[in-house]
Amino acid sequence: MKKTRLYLVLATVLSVVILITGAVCTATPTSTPIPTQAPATTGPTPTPVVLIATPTPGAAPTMGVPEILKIGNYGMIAGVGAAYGRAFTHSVELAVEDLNLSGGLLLGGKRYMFQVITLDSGYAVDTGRATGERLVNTEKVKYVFGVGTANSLGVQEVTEKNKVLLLTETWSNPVIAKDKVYTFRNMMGGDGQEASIYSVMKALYPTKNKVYYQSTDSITWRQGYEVSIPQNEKNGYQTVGIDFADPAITDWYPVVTKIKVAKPDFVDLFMSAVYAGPFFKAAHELGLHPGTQLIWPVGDGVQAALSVAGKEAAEGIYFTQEWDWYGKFMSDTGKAYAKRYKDRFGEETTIHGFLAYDMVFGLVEAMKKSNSLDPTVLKDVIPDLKWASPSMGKDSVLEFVDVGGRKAGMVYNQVLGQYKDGKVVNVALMHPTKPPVFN
Amino acid sequence: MELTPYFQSVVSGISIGMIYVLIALGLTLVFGIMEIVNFAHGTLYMLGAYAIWGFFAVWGVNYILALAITIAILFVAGAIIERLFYRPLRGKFLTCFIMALGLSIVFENSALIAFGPREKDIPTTFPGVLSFQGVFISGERLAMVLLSMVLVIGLFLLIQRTKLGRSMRAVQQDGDAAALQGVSRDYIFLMTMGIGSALAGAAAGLVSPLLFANPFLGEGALMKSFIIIIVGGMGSIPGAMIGGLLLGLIESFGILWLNSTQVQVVLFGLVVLMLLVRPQGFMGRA
Repeated sequence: MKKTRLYLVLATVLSVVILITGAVCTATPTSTPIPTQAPATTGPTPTPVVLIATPTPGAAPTMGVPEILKIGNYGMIAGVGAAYGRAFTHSVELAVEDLNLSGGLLLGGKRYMFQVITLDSGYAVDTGRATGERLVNTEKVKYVFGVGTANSLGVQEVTEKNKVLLLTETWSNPVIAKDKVYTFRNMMGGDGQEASIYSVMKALYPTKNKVYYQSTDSITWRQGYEVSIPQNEKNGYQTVGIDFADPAITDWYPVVTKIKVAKPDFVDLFMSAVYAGPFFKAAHELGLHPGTQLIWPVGDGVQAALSVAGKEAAEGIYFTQEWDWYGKFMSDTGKAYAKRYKDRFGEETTIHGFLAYDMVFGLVEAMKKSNSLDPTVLKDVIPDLKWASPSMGKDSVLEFVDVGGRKAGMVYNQVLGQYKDGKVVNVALMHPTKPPVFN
Repeated sequence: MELTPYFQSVVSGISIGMIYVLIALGLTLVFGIMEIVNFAHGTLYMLGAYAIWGFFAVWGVNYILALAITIAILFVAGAIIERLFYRPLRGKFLTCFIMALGLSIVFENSALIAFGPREKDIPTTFPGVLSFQGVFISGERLAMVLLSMVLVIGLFLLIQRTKLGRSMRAVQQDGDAAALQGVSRDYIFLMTMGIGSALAGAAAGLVSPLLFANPFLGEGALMKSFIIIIVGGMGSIPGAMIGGLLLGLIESFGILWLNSTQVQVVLFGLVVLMLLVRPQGFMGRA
């Protein structure tokens, strides 16, 4: 009995040590602090987090009692994908707070305030479907925001059937947006990104054209390359290799050895930061880089990836930054959003946060433009919508372009960055429909 | 014919193989002696990565000292897990399996809460790259291979040359007979789980500078470990060594001729074949 107590005490001490280690370690300036607000975690039946902000005294006057408009908001808040899901769902909440604080929406002489219902959708079709059922059939929302591909496919089954707008960040456009008239993708996939990047490469390296495509294996990245590789080939780039590495990869040495044999001019890397950093390191150690240009179009977690690669290995690497932390392209509103996010949640926002924040304003813009709250009307207005990004830098106009026969894919400015002499520099401002602007 | 890529593959295969050996050794040790499929092994590896990140990257403790502390912490963690969660379920194979699965989910999500979803990077431990005739290996990897060897030899000596090791082998061969000879199964199981977890911590400490610490780091490692112990033989330490090195070399050479997806087909095809032809693995007991 005494021994059992001793072990229980030891277990408690160990748990406390682990949690304190996390707290103390994350409290240092170079790392990520613990979020100050707990995420909405759910079991099999999602529990909603409801958020309504009260207008400030200085806000525009309301006309009687404002009506509440519910907005559904989902993502992967726990488990794999939480890095995406948290930034997304938190940012929808921030955007709604900002909208409500500025007086909400005035339409047809009536004032509307927004209410967010956030659910953890998990990262699978069936949990997504359950989330969609809950949002649409129980909570009766007419507008749904969410991130993730598999879960969004589940949500979409419900939203399309019930004529509810789905504004989702998914990479896999061919699956998510085609023939689904109530669905809009507010994130660019490979199709939107690669054309811009390689137009810059053409200017920087006019005689080089051999590309090796290396990714980690997922439906998302495969679909990304299905679209972007033919596009690049059409633009004169020769494919010298395509490979999708096992997501459980521990070591990039063998893959890099193979890439070296193919002698590419560019290696195009569709992979998240957790893979990209070690890849950069291996590429440097085996002498692939800097002779071959490494292009990382994903751009999420840039600092972490460059940090694990180390200064020498990171030198010269190109990557996209959908928002510009470092240079002249960032607007004051964008900086304010990023700061608010960090202050509130104790960690940096990501591209998913920026895009989610902007899309909420896009929906409101569509409502104003059509003078309607009806999704059956809004679905016809959104394709031709253009609005200034509140978060993504100066002169960044957001709009939807044709992807797979529908104007359903949002495009936006991106910055091509390069790690040079130990710091990140902006190479060019890019947009899929415009020529690049060099810094 | 250009031979450099093949020599490079040998070097890469051995270096990654040694990491696999270290990860799988703990898993196979626990299975061999305790007969528990410890699904939580991957998350212990993940906790080891966070420990080395905390001590080395954040608090600036000397790397070797940080590694030793990580190993010690994981030893204690393993012993506590055995005492609190596995001992009450001893002999109930399926229940233990579910318990291990549950623990792994608890640990993963606790790490997510404690450390956040963002990856934690661990600085380079031994900078520099050695090259010979176009074949490269970083100082970090070389150190990793050498330290892994030291740990494997240490484990071998512990099992073969110490009283504790003899007792562990006795329990593995026949637990009841060992108990009749005065060997305490409780003590042996506690130590086995501690040592198994410590090995996961050691592997994490060695490999983490090549990767990131993140809450789900252990999932891939666990999958590889299962391949290794199925091929090498469940519960066999030499089997884990053969399986680990074999996996490293197959991955390393396979990619030269095939793409990554095809390598996966070959790898798991071999596992299926092994289960059909020699289910006990190369070195396992029939």
